[in-house]
Amino acid sequence: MKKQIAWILIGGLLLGALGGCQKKTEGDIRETTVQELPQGLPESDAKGRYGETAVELPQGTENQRVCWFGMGEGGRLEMYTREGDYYSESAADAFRYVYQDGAWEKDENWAGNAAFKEHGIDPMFVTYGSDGRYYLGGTDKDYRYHMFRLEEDGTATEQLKGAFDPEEGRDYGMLPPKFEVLEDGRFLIYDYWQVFLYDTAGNRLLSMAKDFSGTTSDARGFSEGNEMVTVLDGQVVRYDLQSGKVTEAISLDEVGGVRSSAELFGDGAGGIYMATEIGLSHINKGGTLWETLIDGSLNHMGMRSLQMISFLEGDNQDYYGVFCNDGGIGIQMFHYEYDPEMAAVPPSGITVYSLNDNSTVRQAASQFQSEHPEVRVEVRIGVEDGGNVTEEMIQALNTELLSGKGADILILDGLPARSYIEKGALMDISNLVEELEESGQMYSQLLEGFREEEGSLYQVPARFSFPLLIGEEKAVEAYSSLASMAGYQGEKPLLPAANYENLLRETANLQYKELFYEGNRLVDREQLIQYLETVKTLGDQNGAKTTFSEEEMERLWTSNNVVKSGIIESAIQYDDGRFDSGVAEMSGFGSLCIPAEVRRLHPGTLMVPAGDLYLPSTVAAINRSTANEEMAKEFLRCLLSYEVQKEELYDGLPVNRKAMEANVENDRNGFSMGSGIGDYHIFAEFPSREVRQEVAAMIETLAVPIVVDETVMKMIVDGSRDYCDGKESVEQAADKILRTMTIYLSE
Amino acid sequence: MKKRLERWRKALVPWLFLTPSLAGVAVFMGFPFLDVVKRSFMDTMGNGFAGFQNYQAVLDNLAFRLAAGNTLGFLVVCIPTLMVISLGLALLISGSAQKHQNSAVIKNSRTMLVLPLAIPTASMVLVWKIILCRDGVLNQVLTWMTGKLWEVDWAFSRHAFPVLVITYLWKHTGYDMILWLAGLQGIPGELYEAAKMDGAGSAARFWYITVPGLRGTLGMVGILSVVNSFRVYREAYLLAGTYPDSSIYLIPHLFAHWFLSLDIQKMTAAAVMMTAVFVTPAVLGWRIILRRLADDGKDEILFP
Repeated sequence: MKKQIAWILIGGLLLGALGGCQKKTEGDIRETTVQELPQGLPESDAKGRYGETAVELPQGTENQRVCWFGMGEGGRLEMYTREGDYYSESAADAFRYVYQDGAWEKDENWAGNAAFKEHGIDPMFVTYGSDGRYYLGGTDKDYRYHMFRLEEDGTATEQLKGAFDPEEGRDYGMLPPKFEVLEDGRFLIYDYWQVFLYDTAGNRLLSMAKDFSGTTSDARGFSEGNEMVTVLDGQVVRYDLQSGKVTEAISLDEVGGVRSSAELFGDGAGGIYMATEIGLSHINKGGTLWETLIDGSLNHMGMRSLQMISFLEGDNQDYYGVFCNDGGIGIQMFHYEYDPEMAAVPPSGITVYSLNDNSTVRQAASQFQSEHPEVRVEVRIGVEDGGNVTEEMIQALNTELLSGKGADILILDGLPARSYIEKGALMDISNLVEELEESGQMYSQLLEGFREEEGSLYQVPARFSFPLLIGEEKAVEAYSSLASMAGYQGEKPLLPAANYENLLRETANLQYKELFYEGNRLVDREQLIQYLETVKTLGDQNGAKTTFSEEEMERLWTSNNVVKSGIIESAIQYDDGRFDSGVAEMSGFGSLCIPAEVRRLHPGTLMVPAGDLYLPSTVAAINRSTANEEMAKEFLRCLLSYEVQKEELYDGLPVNRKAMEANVENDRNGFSMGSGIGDYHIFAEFPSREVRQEVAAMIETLAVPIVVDETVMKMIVDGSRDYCDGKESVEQAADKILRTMTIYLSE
Repeated sequence: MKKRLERWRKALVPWLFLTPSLAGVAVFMGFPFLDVVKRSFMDTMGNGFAGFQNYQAVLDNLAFRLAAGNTLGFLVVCIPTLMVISLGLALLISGSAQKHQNSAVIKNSRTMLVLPLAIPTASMVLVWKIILCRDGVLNQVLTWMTGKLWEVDWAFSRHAFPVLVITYLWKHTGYDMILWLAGLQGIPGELYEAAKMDGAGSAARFWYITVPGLRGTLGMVGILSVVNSFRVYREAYLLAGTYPDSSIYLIPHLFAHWFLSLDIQKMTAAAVMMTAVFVTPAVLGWRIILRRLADDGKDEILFP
């Protein structure tokens, strides 16, 4: 009997096990994908969402900056802009545009520009006060702020004279990013850390504390009636303008915490709106819960390349948002209207996984969603808030991949890409890449760098950078091999001092072809010894150490931090004359400012790429188990498209040739960079068009991606520490490294 | 009819009591392990049948051989050493306790020996690191004692294996000692008294009374020591990282790396083999223990 019962139980367990472990058929998988959500679920039936439409802006605003956008006289939408850069020596022109019958019209008769000119003021701000009058703000030639009331006859009367002058002992006066005029004529002046209330006679009545986001354009706050709302201690607070006391504090935890670019505005009934990259949220007066009205991840609000300038409510429960590109120009305006027929949640979607937050991916997600409102792109980030990547994160992702439920798109930066390819976890996207290459828009050789020997292609970089060598010909030529680096005989050391980990990483990157190309050659003991000896020779020459003291770091202009890219920026050390060459990482024209200036300052200096090497980043791939293959491919097209690639997001150069050409043509006047240590100073303007063209031409020669195995590199760094410290021989270090490396490679 | 019902009831009752436990084991261990067995015969993504290729790949894998050898070596060195030391301490404390009842030293020494088990591994390893690093306490003491400079990196060199063994012994000796003490208390004192009266010496009493009396405990201590030895990976990982010196590169290191690199097919094949290697002797050992208990008429302790 016992046996019978035991057999029954064993049979039951086996049946359950086989059923539970059975792999889902293709049909089963499809049933659970986002493309075909089960009917009858609330999310698939729910209708109603705010849709976004672009508003056409008047001709001529392409190179203008927004001074103010809001409701003017008669409740009309008005936008004030200015020409050129801020802080220019002469007063720039200002313009007024009025939105009427669904179109913008330029007000050619606006008296404000003449008023600015008359007083020699460079326009910065315009507003329509609650007292029914227009006000102007800007700086004079001495960079002092002035505020004027625009009178009905077109003249301007200065207000709060002297209120913005520097306080005793300070060089700079107040430069308010914004001011408001209350119904009774009192003024609310938004400074960085405080908001001041002045009466009409210019007496300061109240000082109310606010948070400072770190940007000089931080003007988070608004007034309504006798109250003012701003951000303080990470919360939204309401001040009473009679007493200056905080009467209400509202937590922002629900809406993702405080944001530096938040726009706060009132609903006219005491409620508060907050527009951020996350979306538009609203809370009623006295309420405790924020309601999300517009999901920013589904439209341009969440786009990384855009900066929100203003957001306000229209007449019919609709909203308007004005944004600009990096640098304050490139104004874009969007109208948000409730569409009762639009699905509340996009009926289909794809998921993108990246270990670290990635601006280009975010940009592509926003772009993709604005082009496909029916698709939701969920960007999943492994490491939130700048934490460290842990093995557990990769293990969690692997578990998903093995169960066939991983993200549709994988950003392989920091992930074991080689293993994923070998195990068949990634889709062959060679057809897609060939299609893009045939369009002629891409730098094909950068994409082809990832083609496998048998012809398939599983991953493509969406961004890249490359090492630039700076120095005289003899020094630059020394980078051609390990032997020539070690044997360099110059007046000064070849490379600037760095901690040995950085020096090991930089040498490995610059000599990638000799050490890692087409297989790890460091498994050869002799090659490993040569590599270690080269680094030690360079280190002995330039004063490298495994760890520097504070005094050494100050003296050698170095640090103990590990440079993530493995390229140590050292153009300024070369400029200072301490070393015979320097290295820079060309990741955008902003990063080219100083190297280009250093070359200009030293006639005869070369600035050349390190052979045909480049550092790929934002390497994208499609999960082979995806049920959304076409959509995933469409997302990759979007990621590599001109629209996404042309944006300067400070995470690398575009792999799209047309986007690079657009970047070359983009004169970013006003962009400059400076650097200084002790008595040394360098100031560099944005590179000239000729320099930009020269560097863009270098891209054509790049063909070999630097993909150093981080585990191998870590073993080398750990294993060579005692050798670098002079505590053991190079042979001992090499044997120690080889012992662990052999285990790793045999796994 | 009534008798048949009674027999059914008697047969069912134990299974009903066992059901929650069996269900837990089945859901959390049985079914997943069946999936592991299945995956060991498939390719990585589970799309194709691989036969015994994965098993062959694992057996040919140098890292697996090293890890398996180290794990086995660790067991061979640690388990007998641990059992002998803990038994010795148990005998010492048991003997002393009989002579000096209510002695504070005896009570405290028990607590002291079990204390390492209560200390969190991470905290413990931090202390070990302070002692064993290149500039650590051990090198300083050795330098002071010998007069020559000691700069041995104990955790990252060939010395890592003895370091790990000592760590394991330090942590688990107290626990095993408690088990031995429980076993010793089960041996009737009259036997020792009678043997003493018959003129048996200490060695004879130990060999003819204590050792046979501890046979049941021996199996239990052995199995628990082996199980605990697998947990030494935590100490090895925290002490020397993911790629330690090759002498303390253990099976869990390899499994962790295989999982990171998505080598699930090798991992499952190795897991099946390891289970076969370690569980089979454990089951056989347990059966032998049960049989001996039954032969000695002590099986009622387990099956009253």
